[in-house]
Amino acid sequence: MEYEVRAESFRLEINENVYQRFSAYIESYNYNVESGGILVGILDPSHNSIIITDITEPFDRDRQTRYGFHRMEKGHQEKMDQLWEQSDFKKTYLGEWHTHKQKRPCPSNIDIKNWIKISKKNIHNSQRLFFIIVGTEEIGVWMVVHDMVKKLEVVEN
Amino acid sequence: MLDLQKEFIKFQENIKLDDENQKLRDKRDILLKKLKNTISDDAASYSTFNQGSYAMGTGIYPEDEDYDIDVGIKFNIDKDDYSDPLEPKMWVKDALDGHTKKVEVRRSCVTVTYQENGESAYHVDFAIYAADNADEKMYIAKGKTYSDDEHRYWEVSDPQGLIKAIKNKYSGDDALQFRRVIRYMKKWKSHNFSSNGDSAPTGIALTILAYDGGFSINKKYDWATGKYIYDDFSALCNLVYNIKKRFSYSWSSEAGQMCHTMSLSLPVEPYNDLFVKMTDKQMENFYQKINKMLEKLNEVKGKTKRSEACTILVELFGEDFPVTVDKSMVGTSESA
Ligand SMILES: [Zn+2]
Repeated sequence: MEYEVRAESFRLEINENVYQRFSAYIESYNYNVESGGILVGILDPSHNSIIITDITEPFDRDRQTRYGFHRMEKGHQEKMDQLWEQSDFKKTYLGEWHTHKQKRPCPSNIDIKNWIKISKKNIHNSQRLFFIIVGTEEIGVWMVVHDMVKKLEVVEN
Repeated sequence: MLDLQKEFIKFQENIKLDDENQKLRDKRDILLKKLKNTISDDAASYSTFNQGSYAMGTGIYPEDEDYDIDVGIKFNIDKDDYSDPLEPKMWVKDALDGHTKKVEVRRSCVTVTYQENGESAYHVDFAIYAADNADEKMYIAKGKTYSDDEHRYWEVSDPQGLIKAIKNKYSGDDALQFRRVIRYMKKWKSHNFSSNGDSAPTGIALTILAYDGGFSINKKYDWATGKYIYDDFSALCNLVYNIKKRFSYSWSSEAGQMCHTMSLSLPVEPYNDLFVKMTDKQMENFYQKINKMLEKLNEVKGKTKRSEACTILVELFGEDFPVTVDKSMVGTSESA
């Protein structure tokens, strides 16, 4: 699946296996508590694009409640390190995803604050970070770059 | 400064094309067999050798998927017995004619072009030499079928001496760094100049710029492992800096403006100027691009993030340069 920001040439690609994981949530998840994890992928500057290739999913240690998902470092960091090494050091952290019991997901104020807080840390390999919310019928994709939150649109072919 | 050696090594693996490439060897061997079987009885005896960048160990995959294989054919003839250099060229042309749709006599070679459906294009250039001359030098046959006498001639040439010079300049692991850095320059060229060949320096010109004082080995001894650690990035920066310094700036009456130009001789016969086909304006354009490259390389030196350094190198060399990243720190995240 390909996404773009309106009026920018940048493209975000979500690999099929990742997209299928999100679809599986839409198909069969009960949404009684929120789920989430990190987005992992590779940078492709020659095509002005970024590709999400992997995600992590909740570990026991993460706190999952009806209206919240608190992701811990442990588990996700190890998975990230493993993907990094296996990819000849090409895969990087690209952002977060979590679920909402909403048909068309919309970020909460806490979500937006959290996204900006994460992207303000000057430790990331990518200047653009992505945040995905998986609703009960649709997924929403946002990008944060220089403290600006922008909604991404599906590219029409 | 970041250590980018792993990235450069991977980059080189991505672009490198050498004589061990089976597909190229097959195309060449088929034609050489065909030549052997069908060449006219009137033709003199001959031997063959590989020339061009694959033979020098500096070949890269062509960006336009048009593979170029260079073969030398040394006829055991004295050039003085063949006042028309077209004659031995036609021995080869006639023997190979019909093998593919396109077999042509070009100015400096006989070219056989392959283009299979949907596949990459290949062309094999046969350079024809008279190898049994009174002065013990080799001469290449120049001229096309309809060239007038003035454009048909034998020109002294030493392709094997050139290959030897390049191959023997360094030995062992040093030679590998020398060839890697030449490949980086050639890839930079194909990524930064339009495919119109005349406006860009040739591969051999870039090779000789490195050979003739531009390049020096960059390595340091590692006491821990007892091995030398090569630094291709620094060697490349140094070469680009030396190329820039080699230009001189003067008034060009041809261009009607100040231009950066240089001349550069082939280190073997016929010692011709390797930039002779470029206009002063094209040389100025080459200089500007070298300057830009040097700026970008200096920018890389200032980067502390691997992803940012690699992004600049992708700009310079294209997507064959790998984009690696530093270890990610995922932290924690609180969503609602
Ligand atoms: Zn939320």
